[in-house]
Amino acid sequence: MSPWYVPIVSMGQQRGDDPICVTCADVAEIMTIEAMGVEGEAYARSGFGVRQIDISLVADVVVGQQVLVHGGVALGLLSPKDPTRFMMEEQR
Amino acid sequence: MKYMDEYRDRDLVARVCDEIDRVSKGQPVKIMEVCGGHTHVIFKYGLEDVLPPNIEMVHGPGCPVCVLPMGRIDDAMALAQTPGVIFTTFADMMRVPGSQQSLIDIKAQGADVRFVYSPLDALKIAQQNSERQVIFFAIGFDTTTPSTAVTIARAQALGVHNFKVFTNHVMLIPALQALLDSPELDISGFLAPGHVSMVIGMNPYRFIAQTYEKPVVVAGFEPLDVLQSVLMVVRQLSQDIRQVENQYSRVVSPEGNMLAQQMIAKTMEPREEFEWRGLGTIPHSALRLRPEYAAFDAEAHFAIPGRHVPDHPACQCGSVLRGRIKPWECGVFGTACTPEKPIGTCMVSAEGACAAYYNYGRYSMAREREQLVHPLVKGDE
Ligand code: SF4
Repeated sequence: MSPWYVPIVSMGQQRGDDPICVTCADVAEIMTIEAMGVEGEAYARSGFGVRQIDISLVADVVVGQQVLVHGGVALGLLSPKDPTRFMMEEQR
Repeated sequence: MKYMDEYRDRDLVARVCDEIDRVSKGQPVKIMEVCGGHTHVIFKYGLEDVLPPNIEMVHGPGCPVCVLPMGRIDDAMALAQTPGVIFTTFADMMRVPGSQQSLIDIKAQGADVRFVYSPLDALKIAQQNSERQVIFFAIGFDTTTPSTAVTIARAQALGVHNFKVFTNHVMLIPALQALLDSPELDISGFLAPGHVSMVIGMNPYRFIAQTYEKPVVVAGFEPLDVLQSVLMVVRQLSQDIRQVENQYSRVVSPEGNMLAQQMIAKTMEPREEFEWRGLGTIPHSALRLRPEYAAFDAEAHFAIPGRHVPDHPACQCGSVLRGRIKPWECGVFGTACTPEKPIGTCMVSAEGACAAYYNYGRYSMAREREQLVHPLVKGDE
């Protein structure tokens, strides 16, 4: 059975934090694509293990890519380029 | 952990707060975080207590459980009690009180109510129980709607006609418009929800900057994301700029997820109007299934009471959701109303402002009370 609670930590991956409903909340879970499935599906890993997810709403997904998943459906790709990080660096 | 630790650096938190203090120059600034996820992060990490005292965070209506009127919960209860039905929903909905009882109460009395992680799980239950009607109670803002849309399209493709959806998806932008049109609203700027924006993009917020002249920053969900976004709002105010900025650029693009938007438009259409708890009836603020997908529409197949049910007279969720009062100003906060025994929806979901205050907000409450008391004490001197 899939976990329906994950912590609110930005995109929700760590166990041991306080629980929140992943689907009621504006939470997206970071998952890494492990294998492609059939017709718009893939197997992806998060802190909770491997789950089947729907990838029909994200284009050009490949194995190894990090996706943001909400309600069992991948909705975005995680970009390694983050200008925020550079803004943060400026604060150091 | 990558993408987490770097956004929780204590030293950086202190520096960003110093910068907010320097840029805001002690001017009072009220920022509404629209999303319940942000509210939760603000309380969990005590961000109100590290922000300069002139920065006030106001907790907006972005918790989907909190804004659903009690009448719709009663409707869900009626559907769940229909003989032969398997009723499926997300976990938080189980405890939400209707006018008489909650889904968890009727489950204990024998109704077949199951919670699911994804609407696709509800579709699987329908496939495994072809002799029974399986209803999915769909709630949520723009982040959650795509998963329902994908599921409806798949149900049609697979011909799973015992699958139905009771649709209660709401849209953030009309709610923001209604808030902005409210004469009582006194807000300097907004933090926009990161994952809703991952779907809808940044463009739908532009009217807030252009027409209402308020800064908007699309914000991520780590402590530093939120503080950085506050700094971006404060910078806009200090430089007299009003625009939509993207703090959460590692996820959000200006145009959003076009495939998700297309899937929603294919399967759903706006309702004429929809009642929101605390905000009243807002035109074109919620979605229903398109007629082409009527075979999957619970509202087309079952008799739904559709009653208007007023909130508990003691509950001030409406004022909390509009940022007019803080949760602890509600007369029953923490006494008759607790997360264990909630009277209003804002206390049910961990994203609700009342639950967040109850679970994490004691120190902030003390500080606010102190600030309220101080001027009186000074006045007496
Ligand atoms: S404390 Fe309870 S009754 Fe009061 S506004 Fe919050 S949810 Fe409603």
